[in-house]
Amino acid sequence: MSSRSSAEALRGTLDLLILKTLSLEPMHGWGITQRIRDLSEGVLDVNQGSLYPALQRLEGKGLVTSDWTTTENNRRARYYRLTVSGQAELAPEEESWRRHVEGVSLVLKAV
Amino acid sequence: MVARGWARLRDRLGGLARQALRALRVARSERELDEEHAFHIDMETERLVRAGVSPREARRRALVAFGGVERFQQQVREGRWTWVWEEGWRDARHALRGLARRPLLAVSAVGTMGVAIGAATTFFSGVESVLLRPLPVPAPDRLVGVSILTESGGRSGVVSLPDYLDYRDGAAAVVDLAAHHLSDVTLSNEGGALASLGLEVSSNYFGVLDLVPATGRFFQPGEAERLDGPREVVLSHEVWRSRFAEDPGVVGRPLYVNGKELTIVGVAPEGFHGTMLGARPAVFLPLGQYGRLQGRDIGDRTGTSWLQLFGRLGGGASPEQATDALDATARGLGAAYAYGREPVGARVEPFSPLPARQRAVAAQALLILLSAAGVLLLIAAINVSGMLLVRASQREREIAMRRALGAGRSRLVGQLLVEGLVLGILAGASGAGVALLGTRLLERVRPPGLPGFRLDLPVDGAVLAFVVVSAFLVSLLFGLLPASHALRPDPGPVVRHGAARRPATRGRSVLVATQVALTLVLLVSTMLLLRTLRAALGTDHGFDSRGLVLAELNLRLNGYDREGGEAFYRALLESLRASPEVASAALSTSIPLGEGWDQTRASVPGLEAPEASGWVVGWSAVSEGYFETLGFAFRGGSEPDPTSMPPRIVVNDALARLFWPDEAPVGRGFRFDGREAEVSGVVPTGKYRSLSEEPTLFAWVPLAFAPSPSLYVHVRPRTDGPAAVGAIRRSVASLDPHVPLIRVTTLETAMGQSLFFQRVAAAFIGAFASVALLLSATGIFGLLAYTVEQSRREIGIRIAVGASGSGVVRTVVRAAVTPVLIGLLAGLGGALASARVLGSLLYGVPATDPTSFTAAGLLLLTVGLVAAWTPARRATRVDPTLALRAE
Repeated sequence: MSSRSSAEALRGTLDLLILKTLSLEPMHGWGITQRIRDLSEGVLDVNQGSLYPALQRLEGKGLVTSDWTTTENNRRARYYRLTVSGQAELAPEEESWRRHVEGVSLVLKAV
Repeated sequence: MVARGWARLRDRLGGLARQALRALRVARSERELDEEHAFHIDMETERLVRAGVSPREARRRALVAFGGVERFQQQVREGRWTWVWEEGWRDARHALRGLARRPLLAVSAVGTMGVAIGAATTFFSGVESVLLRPLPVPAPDRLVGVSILTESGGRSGVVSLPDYLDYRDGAAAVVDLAAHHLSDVTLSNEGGALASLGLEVSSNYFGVLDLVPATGRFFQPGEAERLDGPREVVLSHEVWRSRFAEDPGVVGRPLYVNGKELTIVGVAPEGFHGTMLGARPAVFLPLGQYGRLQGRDIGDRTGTSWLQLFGRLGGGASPEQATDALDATARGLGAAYAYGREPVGARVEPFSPLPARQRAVAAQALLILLSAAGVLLLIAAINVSGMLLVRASQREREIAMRRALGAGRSRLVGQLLVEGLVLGILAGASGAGVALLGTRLLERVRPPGLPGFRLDLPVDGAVLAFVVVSAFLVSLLFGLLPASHALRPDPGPVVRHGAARRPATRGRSVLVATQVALTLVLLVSTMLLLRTLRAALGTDHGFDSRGLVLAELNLRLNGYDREGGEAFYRALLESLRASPEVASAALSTSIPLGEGWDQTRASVPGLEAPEASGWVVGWSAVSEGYFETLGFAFRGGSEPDPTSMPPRIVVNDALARLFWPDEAPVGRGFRFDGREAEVSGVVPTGKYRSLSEEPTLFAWVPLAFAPSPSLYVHVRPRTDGPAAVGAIRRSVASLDPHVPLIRVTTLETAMGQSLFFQRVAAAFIGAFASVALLLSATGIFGLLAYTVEQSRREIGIRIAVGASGSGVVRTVVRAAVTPVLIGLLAGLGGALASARVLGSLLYGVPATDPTSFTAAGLLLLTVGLVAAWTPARRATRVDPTLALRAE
């Protein structure tokens, strides 16, 4: 596999994680990193520097949208939420990820 | 292959457009970025503090984890619009450096496109100035031009003064009808004399145009048409500035026009140059003064037609209503008076500062030239595409490497587009420069028969827009071609093996074939025009025009009356015949294929004419000695005695055969111009109005029959032309030193003026064809040089296994001949179509002239073979060992 394809795979993973997190509830950028860390029980620590470009890329694709609102602590923050096409994208992405993982683990199981 | 390439290109372009839109949609301001960043750091800090880290340390860790605001901004900035500009500027500098490294490619691409854009722009400017630009007056779209239709299906642009008044009054409810006429005048005041142009206008002229005087006033209503009206003159703004320094005190001062005193009453507004294209009248004169100033009888209704009509439609009135009103007047006049050519209706068209007939000719010539320039532009674009394809394949390795190193496709396409834009801007700029020179050249083209014609071709907004659009399209071409080439799906093999193994020559062969096809179109057009000019030289006019010297005189401008004029010309002929340099001399009112020919009606008892008044016959009034001087070969009879009554007339063969098919025509009587006349002699039928006319009835009457103050002097020199010209100047000056020779030339040159448009078209299209031929040659050369370079290995193997040098040459030349032949075949259709467009300019040559087509084809084929020669020779010198090792 060429280096470009693996970079694409990694980027795809981050996108999937963001989409899944946002499917639970709209959230600001920092909240997304926390949510991913909590849900993965600390295994996945999203590189904060690559989170925002990823969010903007998703927004560009029309899967995510954002607007400024107030947090419960009365601070202004940009909240991201899934669009309709983002929700539609999620299920097949999850499915293809699952098959990818199964495939990888089958290979790893081989003697 | 081409179709797939286009589909790919379209997808790429669509992708680029979507990306640009997205960038706009998700663009963040610097402040928003800062705020989002600060929020994130604060939240992270709070979380760490809650976990027991000291606030200061927590903030430090949060910042480290985020990676610094600079990097954050850098990463997010990729989605921002300003990014496009920053990257674009960097790419532009990169492109300029790249061009500087390959100056030959840059100069030839920019130069080729510059010349082609410049040529197209020049003729676009001509089309715009002559055909598109409206008069600089308010609401020019409500102005209409009026011409009168006659019973024979003809059309007349001019009417007499009494007729004008009837048309004006008859249609006054729907259209305000004005009249104008252009004439030569001599202006004089304290500042000396000046030969110039005057426009005779009706009193409502300036009102119809809705103009306001710069100072003073215009003519009073109803005054300008009166033969005994006030002797007034309105100055043009140009003359007011150049001769009177814009002095408002000129109003009320005298100005002498043709030696007659007029009073200046006002000045026309700035930027208004009258209503005749290319003519810049110095003064506007009342119509009614024309008779006095030019020594003409203008009160005669059916005699002198001289006024052109135009008008402004009344509020809400339609052109159809105006046509109806004028039709009624025309029919009334036709029924009431005997014109010879009875008016039966009127035609109302959008106003054009060119009379309808000249407009049609100019439109055809300009559009033909603009199309030719367009073909040249296409050829140039194809030629440059070929160059760029070579460059793109040379850069394949560089681009593939950069892609392998992670440069995004859109990034690369963007860069190539910026490179194209840089080339396009340079090409546009040089094109504008070429257009500046080209328009100066085109301005110097003076159509015959339009005295004082001066047309400015300013590089204005519309022309600049044309340059900008051309440059933009060129930029796209320059950018997209290499881009589509560079973005092949997989960069791997190129990185590993260098340039692609499959030589990308098929696309270039298509380009060469197209180029050859388009060049053939231009070459065939040039050949047809050149052969037309040649055929015209061989026309039999029935006389010997070689060596004849011609001078044009107009005594009207010097205030001669009829008797004075006749005496002057009689004395001039005597003086000329006494000169040792002159073999013979004569006078005529018109010259074949010149301006100012006349026609009237003739009939003969027992032969029914198509119209009651008789057959239309062209005529010229000539002095005695005319037929001898011009060397007419009489078919019968002889030159008439000018004083005999009834007038004895020389007719041409066409008229003699029509009127007296079975009898000897000499001595027969017939009706000519309403009087009895007798045939004195018969001469062969020539060409009178245009070379392409059908055989035309023509007659020559004695000068006493129709004396005129404006005559042509014909001299057959005893020895050489210049000596005879000297004799004419001397004779005229000895009779009256103030009479100028309007034009001194040879009869052949003057008759050649009728081929003006053919000459201009042949010159320009010929120049285009030469450039196109050169470009085709370089295209073929480039294709072959590239093919040879790409197949060095193959050629090396062939030589190694014993192929002869001539065998190699044959292979290479075949690679050139195939696209050339395909191009010639394809170009045949285009050339036939363009020959049909040229049709009415051609004379004596059929549009399908085999000689022109064969010659053009052979020329192209020869040029193709010559261009193929060097690369083919180079191929034979390929060293097989080196070629094989190089891989």
